[in-house]
Amino acid sequence: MALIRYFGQIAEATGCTREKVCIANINLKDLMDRLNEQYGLERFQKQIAVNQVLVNPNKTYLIKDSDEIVILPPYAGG
Amino acid sequence: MKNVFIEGAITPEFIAQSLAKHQTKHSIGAHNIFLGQVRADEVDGQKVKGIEYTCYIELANSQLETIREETFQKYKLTCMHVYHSLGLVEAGEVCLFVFVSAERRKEVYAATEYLVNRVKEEVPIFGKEIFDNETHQWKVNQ
Repeated sequence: MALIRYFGQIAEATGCTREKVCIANINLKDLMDRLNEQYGLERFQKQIAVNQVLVNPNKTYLIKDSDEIVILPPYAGG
Repeated sequence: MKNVFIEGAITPEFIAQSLAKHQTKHSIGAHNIFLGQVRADEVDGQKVKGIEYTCYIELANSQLETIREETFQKYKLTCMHVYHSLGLVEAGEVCLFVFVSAERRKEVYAATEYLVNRVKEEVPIFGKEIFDNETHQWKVNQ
């Protein structure tokens, strides 16, 4: 089970801040397509972090069972 | 950077104590401070009464460490401190405190602006602006 975490307006759209899902061995891009469809996330600008490192969502990355995937809206500190 | 995040507002007492702690460091000749305060913006007749901050702490800490190292490489500083609130900060209260010290003044002006900009652009912090009538919108940095 991989862990997906959401922040800010994206957590508001998904209705949760984290969820565990069976998504091992699928591509990050396919996961994002699935989440965009499920939660209507397409309308948000976002960045993706895998295991605490920001990644290019268009690059091929095969998700592992132990991964933590974090979906971040635009930063608004200060 | 250690203990950047503080629950609730950054108080004037905390800021004064931070300054006092530097009075034993006699190589310092200049301090510069930036304080970010929550503004009571008005949107469609509703006033922002506070901002609730959240952050992705693991990535925030690693980004802050990189920013710290690169700021020290770029400017000749004696020390630097960054503090940011989490949770609710009411309008008029301070949510960001950046404190830079050096031997001479020239370095601290440039370093402060550089640090503030990088914190705002690169640290995963999110702000929910809460209006008087309990509705909200998500803060967007200009």
